[in-house]
Amino acid sequence: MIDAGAAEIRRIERDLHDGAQARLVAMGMTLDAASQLLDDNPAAVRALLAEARESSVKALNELRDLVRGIHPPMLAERGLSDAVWELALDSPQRVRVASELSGRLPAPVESAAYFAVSELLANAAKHAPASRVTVDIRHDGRQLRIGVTDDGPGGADPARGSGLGGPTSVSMEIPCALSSRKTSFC
Amino acid sequence: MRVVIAEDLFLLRDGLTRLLQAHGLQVTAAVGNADDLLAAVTAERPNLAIVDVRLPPSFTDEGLRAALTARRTMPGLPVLVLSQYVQQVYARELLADDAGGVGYLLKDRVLDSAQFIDAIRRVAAGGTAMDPSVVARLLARNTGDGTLRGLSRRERDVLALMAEGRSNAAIAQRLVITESSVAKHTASIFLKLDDDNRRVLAVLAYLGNPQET
Repeated sequence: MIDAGAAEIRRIERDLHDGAQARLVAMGMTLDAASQLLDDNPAAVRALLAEARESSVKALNELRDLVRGIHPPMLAERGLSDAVWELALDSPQRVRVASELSGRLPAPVESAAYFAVSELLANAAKHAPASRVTVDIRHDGRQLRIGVTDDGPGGADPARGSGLGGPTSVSMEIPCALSSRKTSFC
Repeated sequence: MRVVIAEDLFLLRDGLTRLLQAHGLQVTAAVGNADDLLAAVTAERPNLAIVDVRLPPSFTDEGLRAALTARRTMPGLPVLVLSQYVQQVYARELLADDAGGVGYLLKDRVLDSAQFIDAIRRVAAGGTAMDPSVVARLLARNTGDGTLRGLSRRERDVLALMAEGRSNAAIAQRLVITESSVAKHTASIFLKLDDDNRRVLAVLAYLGNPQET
């Protein structure tokens, strides 16, 4: 668990190093080159400025992708139900979300539950692309219960070892408290 | 045109104000939180409010909620919501009242000032400005399940620009075709998809395909 966490942090460091940081350096160099050409070659300056702007857009896109993988913005802003709803809206499949959560869960629970559901939806999309999936989220006062069910007619091929011939259902239960405040808590 | 801006980061608030002023728009208030936004909108009755999704105190979705509240108290108030991320859930909430005059764009779109000012004018005039990335995700999703399979490549391009809220003239200019061929593509798209032709809202409603319970 700790190893996996450390590996993940190294991956984030590498992504920042090779991605956004490198782009910001390139942007600085481009702007410097532009300032040196300002008097002699305005046309070249215009091209360099366009390039710098392009770099800033790419750096922003990379940072956005990175953040989505660490802590999805919808999870931070609205919590588990809306974050799963956002996943559903992005899924190539028809996904129905039934949620009865009236508040926010502890941050580690929200995060773990979100990535588990995300993985299950990705699996369903891969192995049973034509199926309809239902995600059911509720809290019974003591624990969070999540069920992910697909109706499974989506052409999974057991002979190829996918093992998903028919309807599948996965459920999780995580003991935790539910808070009425608007932000997540630890 | 009179505009109210709500953005908590001073640098962005200041930059936006300058950008708007440079294009001849009047910024009547530039505030940093949701309460001040609602007060300014009530007092100034602007032609447009530009609002950041995340505002203090909790930096979650205060700005978006304030924008929705402002539109409930002042129906039809044009609102352009800016964010570091664009999310389908928020796009739907913004479009839900069916009143038009709604924009939802990534913050980096301000870097292309001509396009950005165009979006501002469109929203203030009661039109729509939906971020291309929202539209791209909707199209990708609906291409996967076959909803859009019947459309030609060109028709998909036209549909995407239409869903962003662009006029036939703007679409023609962008795709370097005549306005009458845009109209032909549009007619064909609606024939293939649905017989409802309320343009952007229809397209987005169709693509969004509500599934909630």
